Amino acid sequence: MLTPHITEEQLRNYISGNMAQKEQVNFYRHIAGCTCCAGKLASAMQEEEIIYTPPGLREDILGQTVYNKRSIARNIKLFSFKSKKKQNEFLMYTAKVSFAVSLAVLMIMTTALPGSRTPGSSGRVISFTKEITEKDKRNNSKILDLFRSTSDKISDDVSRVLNLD
Amino acid sequence: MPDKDKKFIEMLNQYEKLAFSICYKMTGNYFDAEDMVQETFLSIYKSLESFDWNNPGGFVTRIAVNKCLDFLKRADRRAVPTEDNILLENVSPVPPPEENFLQEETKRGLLKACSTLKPPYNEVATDYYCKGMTASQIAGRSGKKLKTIQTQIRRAKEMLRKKTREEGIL
Repeated sequence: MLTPHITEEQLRNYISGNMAQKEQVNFYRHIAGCTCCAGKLASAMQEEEIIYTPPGLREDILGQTVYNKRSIARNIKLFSFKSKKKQNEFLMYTAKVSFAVSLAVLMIMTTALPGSRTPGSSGRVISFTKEITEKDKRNNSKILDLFRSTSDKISDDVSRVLNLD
Repeated sequence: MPDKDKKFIEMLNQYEKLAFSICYKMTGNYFDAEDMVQETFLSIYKSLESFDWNNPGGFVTRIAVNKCLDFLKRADRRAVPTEDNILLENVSPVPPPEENFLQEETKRGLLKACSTLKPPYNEVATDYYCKGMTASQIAGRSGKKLKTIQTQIRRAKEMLRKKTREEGIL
């Protein structure tokens, strides 16, 4: 619901304290939604006498904003995204990376084995000797394919996501 | 310091008093006005990317008015369920300024109100509201911790708010 813009007369009445309470409600409601008229009010009020404000208030406000440790953390570029879309893309990217890493760990865990050292050969590389079953081979190749396709997707995502301006 | 913070500080310096004037006119209480000013600038800082640097005064005014309207709605709901269009009925009108009337009258009122508090709040409140000291200055001078002083100021403000609302002053 658009109320009409405020007039010079209204502004004068308001500043001089001659505006009726009911009219004030509509006045404020319009200002609340119209930066242009709010600007006019601001200019008019700045010419009038300004009330005494406690100087400590400024320090208080700065302490909760600029000098607030949590606000400083928000300034770190890594977590400030231009849009929700980019933020979601980043989250998907981290989810995929975590998934790929978990797969890799899983793979390592299922194929790595206790090695056997031949006697008298300290310093020689431990050799893996397990009977790898056919089923294991098939599972591994499936995992490898999945891993490969995921990492392809990841490199696509990376180039997209890192086009953060 | 990031550029945006520098700009914010500059803007705060320029428009804090304006915001206070508007909030005082709307809420009718000095201490409610103080809270609304804080809410205004906190809100601005949180969404600084959408601040209109071409019309800073207008933007600050708009946010301040919105915060005060919300405040008045909340206050109304706490008291008596009223129609939306008589929001401001419970607010005592602020007298129009007459030369330095408002400044001096306000300072006198503040001094009087602060002196009625029990120690240590009377001293802390007088320092903050009447002597124009900041919380860190008060802490430095009294040797107390900043957090302690901040808490005392907050408590003093609550007491002053209650008193001034009841007595319809400030």
